[in-house]
Amino acid sequence: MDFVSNQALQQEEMLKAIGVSSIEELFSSIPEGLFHPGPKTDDGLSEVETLQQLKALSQENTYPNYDSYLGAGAYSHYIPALVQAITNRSEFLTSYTPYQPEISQGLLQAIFEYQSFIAALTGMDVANAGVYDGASACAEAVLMALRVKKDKKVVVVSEGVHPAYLAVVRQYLSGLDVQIRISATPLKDSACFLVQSPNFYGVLEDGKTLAALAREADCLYIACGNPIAYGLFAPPGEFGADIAVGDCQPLGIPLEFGGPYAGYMATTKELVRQLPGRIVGETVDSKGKRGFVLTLQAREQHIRREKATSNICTNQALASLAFLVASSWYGPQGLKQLALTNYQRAHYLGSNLAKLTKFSVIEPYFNEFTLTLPCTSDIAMARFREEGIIPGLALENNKLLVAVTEMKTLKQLDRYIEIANTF
Amino acid sequence: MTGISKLQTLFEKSQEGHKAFSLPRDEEAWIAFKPPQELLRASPLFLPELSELDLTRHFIGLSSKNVGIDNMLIPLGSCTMKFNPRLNEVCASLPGFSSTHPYAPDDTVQGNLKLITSLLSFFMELTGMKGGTLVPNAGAQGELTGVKMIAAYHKKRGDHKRTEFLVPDSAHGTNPATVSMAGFEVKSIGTDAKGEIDLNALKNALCDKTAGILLTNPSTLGLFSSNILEITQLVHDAGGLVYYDGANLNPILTVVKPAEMGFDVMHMNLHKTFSTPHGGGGPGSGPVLCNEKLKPFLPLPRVEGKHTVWEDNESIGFIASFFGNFGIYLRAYAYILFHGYFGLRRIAENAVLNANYLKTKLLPYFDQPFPQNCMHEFVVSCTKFKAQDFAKRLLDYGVHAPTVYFPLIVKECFLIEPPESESKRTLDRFALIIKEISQEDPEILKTAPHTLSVSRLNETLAAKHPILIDPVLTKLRTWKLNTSNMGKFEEFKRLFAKYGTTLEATHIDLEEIHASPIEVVAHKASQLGDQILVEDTCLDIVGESVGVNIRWLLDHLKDLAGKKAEWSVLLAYRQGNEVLIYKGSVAGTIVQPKGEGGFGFDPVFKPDGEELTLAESKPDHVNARAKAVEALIMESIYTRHPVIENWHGSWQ
Repeated sequence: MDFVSNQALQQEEMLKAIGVSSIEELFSSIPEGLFHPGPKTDDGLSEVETLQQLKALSQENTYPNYDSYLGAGAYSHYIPALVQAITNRSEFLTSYTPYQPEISQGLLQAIFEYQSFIAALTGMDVANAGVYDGASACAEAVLMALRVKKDKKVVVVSEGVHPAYLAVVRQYLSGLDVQIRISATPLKDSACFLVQSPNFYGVLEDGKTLAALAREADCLYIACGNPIAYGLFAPPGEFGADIAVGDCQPLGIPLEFGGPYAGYMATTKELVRQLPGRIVGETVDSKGKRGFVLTLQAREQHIRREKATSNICTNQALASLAFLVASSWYGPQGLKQLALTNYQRAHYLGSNLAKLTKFSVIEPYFNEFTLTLPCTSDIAMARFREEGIIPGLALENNKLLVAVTEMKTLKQLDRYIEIANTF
Repeated sequence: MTGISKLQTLFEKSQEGHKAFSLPRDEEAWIAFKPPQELLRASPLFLPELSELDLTRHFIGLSSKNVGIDNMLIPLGSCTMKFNPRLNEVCASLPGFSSTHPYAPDDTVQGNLKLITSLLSFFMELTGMKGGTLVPNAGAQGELTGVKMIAAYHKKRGDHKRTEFLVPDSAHGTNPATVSMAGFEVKSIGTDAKGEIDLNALKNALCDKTAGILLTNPSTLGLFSSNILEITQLVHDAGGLVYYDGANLNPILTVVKPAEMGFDVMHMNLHKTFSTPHGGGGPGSGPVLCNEKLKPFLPLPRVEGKHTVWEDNESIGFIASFFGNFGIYLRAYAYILFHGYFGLRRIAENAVLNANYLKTKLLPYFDQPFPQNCMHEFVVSCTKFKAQDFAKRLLDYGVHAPTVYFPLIVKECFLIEPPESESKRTLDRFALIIKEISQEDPEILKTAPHTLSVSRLNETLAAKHPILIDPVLTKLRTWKLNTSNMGKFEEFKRLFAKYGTTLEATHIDLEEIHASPIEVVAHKASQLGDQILVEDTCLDIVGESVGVNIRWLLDHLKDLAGKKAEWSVLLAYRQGNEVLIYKGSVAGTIVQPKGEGGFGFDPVFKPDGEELTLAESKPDHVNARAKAVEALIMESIYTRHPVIENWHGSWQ
């Protein structure tokens, strides 16, 4: 099967116009030893056969049959029906990067609104159009801090930062003359202090105090966080963070085995020119009519090449659009209620588990908590799985990381408690 | 333009109390759980409020001001805007895939792991490479991965002096940006008159500091470097490795294998070569393939048979948190199954046929610096018009502009790539449009586009005066305070910043009336515009007349020390015909002056429950200004007063 429109008749006409006798002749600049002849038989499938194969493969995944409490940076939330209706629109789905703004006003306005949503949620002045994921957002923020604090060569990462985020930060810094230190407080010579809240273990950090410590140490405070949490809890802007980052996944983006997600980045007015990636700005056309364009492009790789703030080009635009649609569907009241119901459902499970002998939970948390078990996490995992439950992410020895969202019902949570009670 | 058709953002369309959301029912069992007060959000969440119908119309309205491949030809060079079949989308949203968690136990996601393994083996077969990873989220991240793998290779061999990467001057901007991001130095290599890499320049640049080179073949000029084997050999002889930027892979898929050209490592762009949608700028996917030499350094996580591997000492480690853009792999996989190698070959051939046909058709209208046959794309140079103007005029004719001003080495250029699915008829029409525009009055081009929702947008203005978030939000978050006391202003500014809001100062001289503090602020606010705050501070001492004067207080300190007092701050602003007043107050005691900080009566006021005067320490919980600001931000109104336009009483 193929999607090529031209058939033999047109191909003949085209070859004639070019002045060659065969398509193969057009490949004549390829040295003989490198050229492979084409396959002789059609090994393509029909549309229905292709779908059947993919479907069969998807059915080999048994995960969807479990009642799962996995989180750790990727959360199962409800996705409003409107999201897919919008992201599946041809005009968005099949569009190119809006380098020709006059023909891309819809997407540019959406990104502008996305930036405004991120700024409002995080309490920061400005945001970019997004980066790959939460991990690369952390790494880019750290690189940004190193550009701002040029003379400092130490980066401090808080102990609670997601290990995968930390690993990506290490990757992005590995070729540079910079040290990474893991510490609960910023150090005197550090360029930045990266703190995640709720952190990997689900714990809400005291951002206010930590940001004040960062200011005292004259380093930038980078706050990484779950956007839903900011519906209820203090956003980075309230305690004077310099950069706010995180993953948009919890709002409008499916789990999809880890991607595509979208990283967000927001900062203060003073640091905007150090942001990586695309940024949309408002302007006017030649007749004074309002419109939107990609702006401050002198930071980017296609203009600045080796002097760019980052190499990022393609980002996760469509996933950022999904985030915008989902968060506007919730609105300010909805986001607060969504955060609250996540908090309450998680605490219903957490506090009931903590009542059982030899179980304990670390406070304060939002919608995910670290549960200490009376047995190894392997044993617990096996026991729960017999009951059709994946009880969380097994951490070292006897701990589980348990995420609870608005998707969980009282019945499911009670069942979890009931099984734990048999331990 | 009439106000009715005016562009409005979500923020402008917001109406108080409107909503689209619904949430599952709460249960008695958990509603008693309350989050800790001290961690709560203090600032209001300024997001728009719209009904679901209004939201739907908003976003559909936006989509009508955007275009994709489903609307028109997008002949963007080096971007391969090929048809995105809907079959891909159906496959990617199969719930068996889309609801799987990246940390799911291996045995519960065998379908996913099989898909990753088979997609990788397709890619290895197509490129001749021996190993690979799908993880990198886009081409640029693939480049970073490849460069890091090359760095790890040299490091492992103890070859520490290799600090330079060579990059042709015709390369994509991501190439040099990646190299410097990875901590290497960029050495730019020129292009010769035939559009091929300058061999002499290459030979001169190669040395024992060369870590590697990044190349695209076909090049960004759309030409296949026929001396590619010599180039890769030269780099290898110098001890460097060769990276293949797979952006232009489409026309050589099944025709040439990058491994056989001598490349050690490469990335592919699934959103270019494998028909996954660009989505307005992403998500893409940039799998990296490599030869045996570099295989040990591939990033994590990996799939090995029925298992995932998350730890490995030789690997460069993680480049993304999980498995990358898995949803994109599903689309690419469907594309490969559907076409088979047979179909992929037909695609490569027709991409080249289309490009050469269009190149021939456009001969009369542009200068073509490289007259030879091209691969999938070709460069033309505008002689009569500016490329930018020509591009904008194309938009009026319902075709997207080609890539403009890239590659940087050709003046006023277009890089044109008409992918394989485009019919001869579409290409003929494109050529006709080019012809027509070439004959147009240059003035029409200079002011194009003329038929879209906006005319030529002012990009200079946008960069000079950046407006990066909605002005409605900025306004909601910006207050002005009318004061001449800069000490006071700085303190207020800090307090407003706590709520993510900005405070600006105005200095309008206002006479004060002789009246109660409420009337004083109401009168002052009445003289100013909306959202301009006025402030009044007073100290009431028990047993003394209301609102003491600071000088009088200091003069009578001897008698007053030890007395109870209340410090209160009023903030007020006008809204239409009334003034809204907010209050913060703190109880304390008058004491002998102590402390250097603060201003006014700070040294003689000790708040209840504190050991120090305000001049010694002024934490926000005993700061009446902080409390007044909090009341204002939280919209907790103390009182309202009608506007006082004319005052007939006495003045201070």
